Formats: sequence, C-alpha cells, structure tokens
Amino acid sequence: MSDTKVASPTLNLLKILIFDWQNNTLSLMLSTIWGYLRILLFGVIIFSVVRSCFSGDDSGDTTSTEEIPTQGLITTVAEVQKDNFKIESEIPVDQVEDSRIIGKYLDGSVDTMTLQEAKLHQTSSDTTRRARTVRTGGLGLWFFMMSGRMGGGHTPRSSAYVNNQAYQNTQNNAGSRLRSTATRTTRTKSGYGSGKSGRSFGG
Amino acid sequence: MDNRLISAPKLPKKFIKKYGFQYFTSGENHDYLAEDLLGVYASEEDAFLSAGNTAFSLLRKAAQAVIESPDLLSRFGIPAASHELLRWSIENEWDDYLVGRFDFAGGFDGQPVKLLEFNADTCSLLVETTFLQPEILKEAKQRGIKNDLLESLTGRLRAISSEQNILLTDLGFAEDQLTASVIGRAARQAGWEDVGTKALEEVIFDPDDAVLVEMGGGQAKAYDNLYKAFPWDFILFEEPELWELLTELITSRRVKVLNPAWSLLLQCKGILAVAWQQNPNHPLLLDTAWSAAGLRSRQYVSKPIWGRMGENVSLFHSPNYPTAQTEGDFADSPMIYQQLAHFTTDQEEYRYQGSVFYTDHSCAIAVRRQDDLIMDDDAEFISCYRLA
Repeated sequence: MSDTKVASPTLNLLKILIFDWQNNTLSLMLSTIWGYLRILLFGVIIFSVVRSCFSGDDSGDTTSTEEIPTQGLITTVAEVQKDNFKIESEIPVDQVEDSRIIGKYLDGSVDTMTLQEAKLHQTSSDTTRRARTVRTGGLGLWFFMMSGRMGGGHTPRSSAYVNNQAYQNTQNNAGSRLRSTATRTTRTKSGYGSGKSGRSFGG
Repeated sequence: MDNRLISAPKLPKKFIKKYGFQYFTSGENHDYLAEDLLGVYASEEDAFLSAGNTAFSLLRKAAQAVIESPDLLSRFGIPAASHELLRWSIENEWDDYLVGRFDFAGGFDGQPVKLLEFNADTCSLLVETTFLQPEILKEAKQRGIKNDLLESLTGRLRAISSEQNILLTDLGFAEDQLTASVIGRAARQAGWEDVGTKALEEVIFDPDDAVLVEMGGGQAKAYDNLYKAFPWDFILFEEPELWELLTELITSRRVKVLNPAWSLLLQCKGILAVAWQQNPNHPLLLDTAWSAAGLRSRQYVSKPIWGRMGENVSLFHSPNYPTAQTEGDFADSPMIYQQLAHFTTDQEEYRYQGSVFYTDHSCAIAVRRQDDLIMDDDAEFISCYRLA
C-alpha cells in the first residue's frame, strides 16, 4: 500500500490552540475547539474507513487520499499592472458558501464574486477581467473552493502572490486552517498507456 | 554527392557511457550512426532553414482552415468531442509551440527542397542533433552546420511558461525517454530546477486539481508544465478518457502540455493535402491529394495520415501496382497521396533526407540516409560538416 495520508488530529489541535492564543481571542478559541472536536470525531471515523479499505494488501495499490474543504475562503486578487493579476490576501471563513473572490482593479473598481459566480469563469476560455481574476485566485487556495477538494498535491505557487509576505501568510494561516478542517477521499493514478503501445513514438 | 562524404570517427566509448547513449550505438542500432560525414554548403544550409520557416507558416495556415471545416476534421478522423480542446489550443496557445521537425527531399546538388512531412508533435533525432552530432564533429575536427537546437529549446521553455517546473512523461521506451531528457536538459539550462520524470501510468490527472506525481509519505507534487513523449493522436485514439481530462486541465489553465494540442493538426499528414490546395504549385510543396486520381503526377506515394517511421508507405512509379511498400501498424489509417519526390542519392544508392528542427524558427539541420526507396526506421543518421 502506498501513501495513504491520515489525519494528525493532536498536532493540528495544538496548532490551532497556539494560533488562537497568539491572536488572544478567547471566544474564537472556544468555538474552534468545539469545531475541532467534531472534526476529530469525524477524522477518527474516516481514519478507520481508510485503514480498513487498504489493510491487508500492500501490492499494486494505486490510490492516495485527499481532503475536502469544510471551510470557506475570501480571496482578494489585485491587478498589479495592466492585465497582470496577483493574489493579495486569503482569509478563511466558517462556511464554504460564504466564500468570495474579490477583484481590485487598476481603475479603482472592485468586483466581488460568489463561489457560484466564480465557477462560471473557472473553465471558460474568455479573457475578461473576471475570468482572469478567478484564474489567478485558482493558483492559490481559492483553487480548493472551485474544485471542492483540497488535493494532496496542490501547493499554491509563490509567483501567484503580490509578494512573498502574502504567500507566507497563506502558508501559515489560511492554508493550515483549511487543511486541518478537511475531510478525505481517494484519488487514483491514471494507469493510462499501460499495455497500449509496444514501441516508441519518435517520428 | 560522393565527393562530399568523408570518413566519420567513432564516438568515444567514454562519451557514450557517460551520457548513457548506448541505445544509439549498440544492439539493433549498432550501425545507426553512419560511417561517413556529409559536407553541406552554406547555400544549402540557408535553403533548408528558409524552407523550414516557410513550411511552418504554410502548415499553420492550413491548420486554421482545418479547425473551421467540419469536412476536413472528419477527413482527419478527429471526433467532435475533441474539437473543443483543439479550438481552445489554437485560440490560447498558438504561440506556445516547442519543437517539431520537417523532413525534406532534395536540397543538395542544386535540387529544390520539397516538403515531405512535418513531425509536429513528438519528433525524434533530438539527442542525435544536440549531443551526438556535435561530439562526432568535434572528434572529426570539423566545423558544424546550423545547430542551435538546445539553446532554442531553452528559449522556448522560458517564453512559454513562467512556472519553472516540468514533468516529462513517457510510455517506458528508451528512445522516448532519451528524447525527453533533451527537453529536461533544456529546462535545467533555462534555470528550471524542478524537472520530474514519470511513466504515464503513474501520473495522476485530476481535472479539479492538477497533474500530480506522488512523492511518498502521502504527499504529491503538482506540475505546471508537462512534456509528453507520446503524440496527441495516441491520446485521441487510444486513451480518449485522458483526452477529456487533459481538456479540463488545459482549458482551466492548470497545466500546459507541450507540444500544444493544436500540433495534432500539423502532425496529421492530411495537412499536406490542405496546404497544397491552399497553395497550388508552391515551390516548397509536393502535389498532395486524398486520392491518387486527385494528383497530376502518375508517380506518387501513399502514406497513412497518422503513420510514423515510414510504415505502410507504398511507392508507385505507375498507378495501381506499387514498386515498393513497407509494412506497419497503420494499414487501417486513411491515406494521402503525394507526388513522388526526388531524393539526392550517392553511388551506393543511399537517399539523403534533410530535416529541419523548428521551434519558433528554423534552428537546426539533421540528415538521414537509407539505401531503400522508402525511408523508414532503418535509416542512418549522418552528421554534417560545413563545406567552405
């Protein structure tokens, strides 16, 4: 069996406690603890399910786990130069449906999109400001909101942020919170091409 | 032709071993590198390079006509479900071409250069051109001909993507892996530190996420750029589900695949018939049609539109009965018919085929030769030196 990722509830709880202590917000801390206890219980169940699915067979496993976000995100994307967009900030919110993506443009205008509105632009090939805003946001944590999954491999690219500080903020705060409140599912290696060709393809 | 051939030195064993190039010098390929070197004049070099630039322009114009024509898309055998990606690719990654190789007849001893075909998607000869030929010429103490392939690939990668990572994926064949390694080398030369390699079946294509590779310990890595050492037509016809996944990943800009999907249209030999129809009597093109009856010439070859390596090609000196034929895996493919080209030959009846690598311009020349009427996988690679 390869690469089955399981929760590390104790560590994540400690991270949140420290994070909340640093911010000196008791009420938030209490609600976070309660929220986390619920996740912890759920995590134990998921852990058991995942383990039972894969136990006893270490050969030929082609699955890995990934996470589903249970929190939302407000991403702000700024137009830093004409037609050049970067992520300015990413702030977690409790509910996925409260997620927003906010575009701030050089002409001074601000455009706020809901998750549903953003998804309309997700796969479009148009080059409108809105579409570019969504695509830029998708290079960071907003990606998880659009895909509905965390994805074990997706790492926000530093080049997508206005500066390194904005990137580090994401890594330290919003990113870790989103990950700690995520549930899990499975993902499969492609297997494409297996046995389909007997020779090379050079032309 | 014979007076410009000189004896080729053997590649040093140390060099072959150091870079793992035994594939090109041992086993079935022990005689792949020709025992001669071919001298090329500057005027011939210029003519080949110019032909590459012109041919790229002609074929791209033809591709734009194909994507707008249901009839041509049908002739190419491209299913409707795949048109979306091709259109998107033309509209959004028209300038993201990495590399292809034109094969030409003629070009030596005053003979006109004629386009045989374009290996637009996953061309071979990258290792031979970037590494073997320069080393052979160094051993021979000869000056080389135009060869900026590696530098040009590096430049293309820099221009195509600002994300400095790439995954090279293949189906496990040594030649493809060696070819991909040249792209990897160009990427490192471009300053990209994250160059991964993975067999296709091990790669994770998550349409909602990215192209991913497991790293162990429950971690996976996302790649922004993917070089595939297998052609788009393989994906289209053999792995249509992968085509769908890539459509989602590419159009949502989660990954750039090289070459871009539109290169499929130029890889199809049907493009030669379209180009001829758009540019009848163009000096670079050979009369090409969808049937032998559509040709003015009674001497022609038939080629499968998705064929490779000279397989399933028939050569007719007069209609109906082939003078020469090759076997292969593409017998069921639709055919195009192309006026018989004139190859320069030497006294031993070797036919010489000049090739031009195209990135965003013609950047290198390579030559192969074979003592058969049809050039196929048995061709030799002959390194070229510059004649004064």
